[in-house]
Order: sequence, then structure tokens, then C-alpha cells
Amino acid sequence: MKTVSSVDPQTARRARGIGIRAVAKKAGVSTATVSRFLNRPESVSAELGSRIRTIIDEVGYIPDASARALSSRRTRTIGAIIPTIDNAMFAQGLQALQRYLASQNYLLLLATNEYDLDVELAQARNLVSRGIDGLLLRGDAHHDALRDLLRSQEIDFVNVGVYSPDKPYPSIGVDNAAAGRCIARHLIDLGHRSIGVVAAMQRNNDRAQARLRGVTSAIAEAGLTLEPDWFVQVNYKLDEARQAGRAILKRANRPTAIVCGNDVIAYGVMLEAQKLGFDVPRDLSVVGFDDLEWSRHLQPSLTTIHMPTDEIWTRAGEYLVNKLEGHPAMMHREIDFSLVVRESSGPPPSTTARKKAAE
Amino acid sequence: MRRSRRNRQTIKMSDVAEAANVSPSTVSLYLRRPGAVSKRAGAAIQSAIEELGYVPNLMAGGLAAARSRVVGVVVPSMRNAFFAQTVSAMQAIMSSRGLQVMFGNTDYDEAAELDLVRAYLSWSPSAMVITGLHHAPLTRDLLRAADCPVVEMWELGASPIDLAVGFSHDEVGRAQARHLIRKGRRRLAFLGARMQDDRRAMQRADGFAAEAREAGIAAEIVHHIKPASAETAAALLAKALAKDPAIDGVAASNDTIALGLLFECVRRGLDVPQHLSIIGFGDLEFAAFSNPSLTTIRPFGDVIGEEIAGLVLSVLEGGERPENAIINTGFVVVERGSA
Repeated sequence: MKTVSSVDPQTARRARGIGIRAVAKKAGVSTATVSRFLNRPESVSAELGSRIRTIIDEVGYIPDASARALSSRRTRTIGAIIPTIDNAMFAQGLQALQRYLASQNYLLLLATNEYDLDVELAQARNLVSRGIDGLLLRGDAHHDALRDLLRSQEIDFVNVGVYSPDKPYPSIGVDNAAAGRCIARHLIDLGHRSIGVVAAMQRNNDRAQARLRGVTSAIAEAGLTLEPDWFVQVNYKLDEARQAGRAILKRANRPTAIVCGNDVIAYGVMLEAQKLGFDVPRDLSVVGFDDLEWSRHLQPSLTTIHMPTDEIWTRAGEYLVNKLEGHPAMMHREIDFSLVVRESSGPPPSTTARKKAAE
Repeated sequence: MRRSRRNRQTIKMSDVAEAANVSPSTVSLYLRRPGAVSKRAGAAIQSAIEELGYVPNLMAGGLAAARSRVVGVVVPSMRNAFFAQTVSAMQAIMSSRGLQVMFGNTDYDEAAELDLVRAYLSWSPSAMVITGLHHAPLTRDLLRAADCPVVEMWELGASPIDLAVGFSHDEVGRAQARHLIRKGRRRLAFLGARMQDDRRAMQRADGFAAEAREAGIAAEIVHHIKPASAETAAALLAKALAKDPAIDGVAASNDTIALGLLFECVRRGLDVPQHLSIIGFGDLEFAAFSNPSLTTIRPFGDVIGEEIAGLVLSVLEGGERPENAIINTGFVVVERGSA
């Protein structure tokens, strides 16, 4: 892999910064000539090359941020690519991240990729070509081309929302599988033997996948099965969650508890259950994930996993800032979750009570 | 197509041109105005860019004057879903035309807004989209001097710098008051969060009070400096009841407050709507599913995004200033159970 010899990167960057036109004009040559010289110095005479080099050094003024970035390698801008902002957890986390970065004098630029890895790659290319100092990415499922891009451009980055200590790239997050296991265990410990799951869409969502993995492994460890009829995947929409709840609860054979992939799904399932005449938690336990703001105010209040979103995103920002400023930075960081037991979970109805409810 | 293992930094526009079988000037045009090349050429160029891993650095090679494909968007908050819908709708249309939406959150801070605007303008964006009509003088100057379309969104009223898509918040406040009055409420209050920063909420409050006053009906404006939350709503209700224990109709500055009010009323044993009618603003997803379901005002956040995309594209691709520089996307009153 022979690399083409060129003018030293420092000089080339400065030339691009001040605008090749200005250099060309001063040197009395065309922009094409200057451009050629920057990419292949041997394509012009030694004398011309030396003249162009001198002019570049003399002129020096860099009019725009991107060029400044090229010469000094610092824009004090950090990018973050997230699936969507139409999600309370992302919105909250980004707000916390932004506050932290602002306090460190960094500007935060956001782009969304709607769970599409191709779009994520395009957005990353776009941000990198603007000259960001660092990048936050959601999860660790990315295009190889994205990893290559970050490596070749030497962009510091961190995967947020996953904790993968065995992987060679930085990650910070909660062990979602452990959290999934924890909340399923809570229901099993209460005595539930028939448990349903309304999960978030699994595609391109490693966080949702990890949670589901934890839930199903806890169920399997207890010697129980997750009936296919009691398992639905839905988008982050109240309406879809309601329909999923309805589909599960209208069956003759139904679970006594439903684990929901996140609180929004839990709200939908719980609302529908109540509408269908179920008393939560007496007839049915419903649990969520994330501990959104409303969860403690609902009636009954929602049992859920508290996710320290602010802390996750702030620490991710800290990692990047420390790395950029040459301070020691922990490459992997696991943040603790906690089970918050409220009113929506309780013991399963006794067999007689269940028979009565079924009538 | 041969796969090059060259360091991506040395892949040039001419390489892309060669791979796509077009001239370098066509590639250059595509990078600046994707809609200006034929679909076939555009597709060939895009696929060459991806295959070669070309990262277009439009600042190099004397293209400093060329426009990037970035649309810089500035929003004041991400707490509410309003701006999320708009950005989403805008992005869906713009990305299909090769424009990439980048956004930033100011948290209602004018200095942060200036920083963001400066950052975007340094990239020669294809367009700027900024929330509201009020900006710091320097920000306004920068936007006026920008030579790309500038759209101010989510607010109509004063003259925009260039283009505007939104609706009148004064009208929203008036509509909230009219609805409560029509329902027979006679002692009104507008409960607002963070109105010292959120001018649009203040406009709604003022419109509400003006409409009530004109109808000869008592109305208070109750304010809390903290952002909208269940806690803020509870504090607002307490304050409102302390001022006037007989209030029977309240408008909230947004649905987050309205929902919080509903929860607080349940806790206090206050019957909604019998004892107290509540009307919100936003028609956030929860509104239809709360108990009672929330009567609210629905602005059309996604339509705002679509109209902005349409305006920007018509300027970029047509090169002309559109006939309608100001688009009123309006709102509707959604009557449900709480008022």
C-alpha cells in the first residue's frame, strides 16, 4: 500500500485553509497547479514548489472553522448520532450531556439516524468532514465502514448505552441484560409462573435485545417458558403498546404478569388492561423499564428499572473530554441500574380468583 | 469497480468522477446541489462515493465558497416532543434530496444560540432553520448576512428575517380562553412554566388573558420559573388555588404541565372537569390516553417540518424566492375529557 508522497500535512492543511485561490493568485499560477502541488509535489518544479510553500506560510490567515480544524485539529465541537429524539430517554440524556459539554466549552451537534445503520454512516461522514473533535454513538452495532472511518480519521469516540468491557472500543452503559433479568426475577419471586413480554422493536437495537435476553434467561432459569402468544414487539408508541396488551389479554389463556421493554410500552399495556377491566396489580402485574417522569405519578404507580440516563450521557461526555485533553480516561464504564418497586406489581391472583376473573 | 485501499484522505473528487463515469464538474455540482444533476448521474456518483469511501471536504481545493449539504437546525429544548416531530419530518424529506440535518439545542440560552448559529454558518450550510422570531442582535445580524435561506419556525408575528413557518401563539392562548368560557368557566387562570425564557409560552399567556379580559372574565397568569414537569405542575396548581380557591378553568402552557395538573387533581380529590376544567397545548402522545383524556390544542409539528423542507428545497433547486415566504400552519382545538 504505497502512499503517495505529498507536501507535509501541516502545510497542506494550511493551504486548504486559506483557500487555494489566494495562494494561486499570489504565486501567479492556476488553482489546479497549487492543488496538484499539494497532492504530488514532484509534479511541479522545485523552484515553484518552494515559492508556493513560502506563500502558504506567509499568508497564514484561516477564515473558516473547518480549515482551522484542519490546521489546529481542534474545533471544540462534539457530535452525537442517536436513533431519534422522539424518545424521552434520549432527549433527557442529551440534555444532560449538553449541559456538561457546555460547562467544558464544547459545542454539541446532533444528528439522528432512525435506527438505520446506513444513515448513521452518512451522518458520521458528514460530521467528520466538518471537523468534529469527538463522536458519541448509540450502542455498538455499527457499519464496519464507520469503524474504519473513525480509525482512519483518528476521531475519538464512545459507544453509549452499552457496556462491553471485552471489546476494544470505549463503551459506557448499563448492563441491560442484567436489568432485564432483575425485573423478571422480581415477578418470579412474587410467585408469577405465567409471564408475558411486550418488547421494544429488536431490529438494530442492541439495548432492547439485551433487555429481552435478560428477561428470557430469567424465565428459563426458573424452569418456565415464554409462550409465543404472550410475546409481542412494538415501536415506541403508546397506541401500539395498547394493541399489544389487548392482543395478549384477550386470550383465554393469559399471563398473570407482563414485562414491558420500556415505560412507554408499560403505560400503554396498563391503560389497555384497565380499560379491559383488569385491576392492576390484583388481576395483572405490569412492569416497565427506564423510570420515566410519569411512572411514579400513575395510578397505580409503575414498578420499573431506574436507568441513570443523565449519568450515562454525562460520563460518556467526560470520557471524550478527558481523552481529548490528554487526561486518563476509563475506556469502559458500567453504570448501576436499580429496581424500583411501586404499586403495579404484586403477587399473582390465586387460582380461584383467576377462575372468577375468567368468567 | 476496483476497491482501493488507499488512505481515504487521498481520494479526490476526480477519482469519484472516474468511477461514476461523469466529469469532475458534475461531481462538484452534485456535491453542492444534488437535485441539479440527472437521477442516473446522481445515483452513480453516490455509489462511487460510498465504494471509494470518499469524504467530501468542501473546504479543500478552493471550494471554500461552495455550499455544504448541511441544514443547520436550532431548537430551544428537547424536553417536549414538539421539536422532535418537526426535525423528524424535515429530515425525512431533506435526506431524500441529499441534504443532511444537523441540530443543536440551546436550552433557551441566547449565547448558546449564537454559538450554534456561528458554527453552522462557518460550514456554508444549504439552509438555516431556527426556532422563534426573537434572537440576540448579533445572531440576527449573522443570519441576515447569511447567503442561504433562513427559516424561522414555530412562531409567527413579527417580520421574519427571511422565511417563516409556524403559527400565532397569541391566537392559541385566545383559543384556550374561548374554549373554557364556552364551557361556562368563569374564573380562569393560565399556568405557565419557564415563561421567563420561553417567549412563545408568554405570548400564549398574554393572548389568554387578553381574550378573557375582552369577555369581561377574571383571569390570572400564574408562573413558575422551572421547566415543565409533574412537580412544576403541582406547584403551579397550589399557587393558583392559593390565589383564587374558586378557579374553575385553567389553561396550561403545555401538555406536560396539563398532565401534571391532572395527576395533582386526582391526588387532591379535585374532579376534572366538573370541579376544574383543564386545557393543554401540544397534543403530546399522552393526551389521548390520560384519565380523563386531555383537551388540548394541537399544533402541526410534522407539517411545520414538511413545509420548511418544501420551502428550502424550492429555493435551493429553483433558485427563486418562493411566493409565500410566510406559512401559517395553524392549530386545532382537540376536545376530549378534561375541558
